[in-house]
Amino acid sequence: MVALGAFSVVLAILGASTALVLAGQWVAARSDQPPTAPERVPFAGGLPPDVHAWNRFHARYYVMALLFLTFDMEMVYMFPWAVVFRSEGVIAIGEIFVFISILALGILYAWRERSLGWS
Amino acid sequence: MTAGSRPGVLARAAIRAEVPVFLARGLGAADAEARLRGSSRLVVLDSPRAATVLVVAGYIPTALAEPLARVHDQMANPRATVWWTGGPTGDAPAGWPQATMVGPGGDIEAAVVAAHRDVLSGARPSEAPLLVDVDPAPWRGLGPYGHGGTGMTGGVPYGRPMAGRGDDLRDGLTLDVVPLRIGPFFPHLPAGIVIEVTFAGDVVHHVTYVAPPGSDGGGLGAARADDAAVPFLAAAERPVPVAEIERARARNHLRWLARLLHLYGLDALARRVAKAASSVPRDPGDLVALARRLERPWVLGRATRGIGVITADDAAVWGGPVARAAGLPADARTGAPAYAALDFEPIVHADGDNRDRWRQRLAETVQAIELASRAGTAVLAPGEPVEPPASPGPADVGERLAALLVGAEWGDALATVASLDLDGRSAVTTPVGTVR
Repeated sequence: MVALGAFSVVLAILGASTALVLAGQWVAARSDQPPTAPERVPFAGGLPPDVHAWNRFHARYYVMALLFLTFDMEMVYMFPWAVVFRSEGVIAIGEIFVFISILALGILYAWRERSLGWS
Repeated sequence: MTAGSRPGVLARAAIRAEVPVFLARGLGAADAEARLRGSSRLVVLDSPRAATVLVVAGYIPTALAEPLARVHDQMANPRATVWWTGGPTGDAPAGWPQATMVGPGGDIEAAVVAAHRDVLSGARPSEAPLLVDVDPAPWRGLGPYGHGGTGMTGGVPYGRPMAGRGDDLRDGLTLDVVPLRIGPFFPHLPAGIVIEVTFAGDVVHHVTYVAPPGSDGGGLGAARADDAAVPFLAAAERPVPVAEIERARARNHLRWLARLLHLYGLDALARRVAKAASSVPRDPGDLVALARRLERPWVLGRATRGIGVITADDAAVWGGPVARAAGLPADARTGAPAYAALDFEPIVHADGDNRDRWRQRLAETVQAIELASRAGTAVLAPGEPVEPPASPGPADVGERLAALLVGAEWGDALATVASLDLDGRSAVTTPVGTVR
């Protein structure tokens, strides 16, 4: 029970949010006026759609996403450094600056290649 | 809730709140949006889904009756309709038996608030759907997987085809393009206009412009007299004071600016400008300060720069403020004797982009207020050339719009259409705007 007590707030929020969703569905199901076909049509100014909006979309931010992943993974190398940099001293500080400088050069290169622009 | 019973706590709170309104602009209602937007008791929405009251303004040709009924049905219950017409109110229009009618002299704000209150309190029943409940694309259950046809993207699930592929305008990666018909009651497009847009992602790939239908002898409602257009239309027939013309010009420009500010999400500013349009200020000082504020890069400066460029070569066919924003000093007031006495000089800008078009109209608003204050009793004689507030525009507006919009992101495309003030153009040039 002690362990459960630590999660009581989380459980309460989970329970309350589930109850809200179920209450919303119950209220919707009680409606005596289910939407008609014209009421279900998405709004585009008064005309019905001719084709499905289900299509392949070009995620043009993928270059930014890849860059983010690269830099995110590099944080993995910094955690062990953060553990030992006190005992290793100035050399560790210098090494991490060299490491980050190389990364910064990569960012500048990506910037020059216009990879950071949303096009 | 039954009629006569006391509304619940939530209903009473909703009744006291701002009234969510969707405005369906017919023809001859160029002023309607700014008038509603200037009200502190109403909030004009961009979609009918969350609106309680549908306001139908102006004249609805027969061809637009079904799209209007669809907009009505897309409102959630409870819902009510108020028709804001320029003609005799009389009975409700055919097919709209529960609608409230407001005539030219009526108080639209009070009618909308009353409809909202009555429909939420149960004093007035929510309006029934106007269109029949028939699915336009029912499930057909065809094909090996019941997906409506054959092939991964070649089928027609639910009777509607899948998106097809099209050339890419940016990096050559060919993906799906989605054709959509937008309008004629889309709030960010001029009234009655439909544009058939093919999207490649968020970029406009192809555009076909469908002009608004004109008066067809039938239809519903009637065009409303627009006090920003009437002096310009009247100048051909009778002497009109220069001050009246210039104040009408300022009113038209301010209404246009309120629409543009709303499009950019600057709703508080849009409401202030819409209020200023209803009673054009005598002192342009606030507008000069507003122009300085809008110039800031994070307000409008950066978002509108370099968008929708009309070059000086193309500007001549657009005429009016659009041409002057591109650097052409074409203005009928230059040669008019009434304006020569006021030392009138046309204002011009250079870049011809969206930024220069709002700068141009705001500068012309300030100029119009100053001219009106100095004009005294000066009168424009009938037959003298009069400069309309909106650009007359080219005859091939569809082709030119398509050339401007292809390749633009959707938000920029809408802002470009708005910057051309096609609503103001129709108010001073088409027959439906001539009701006085």
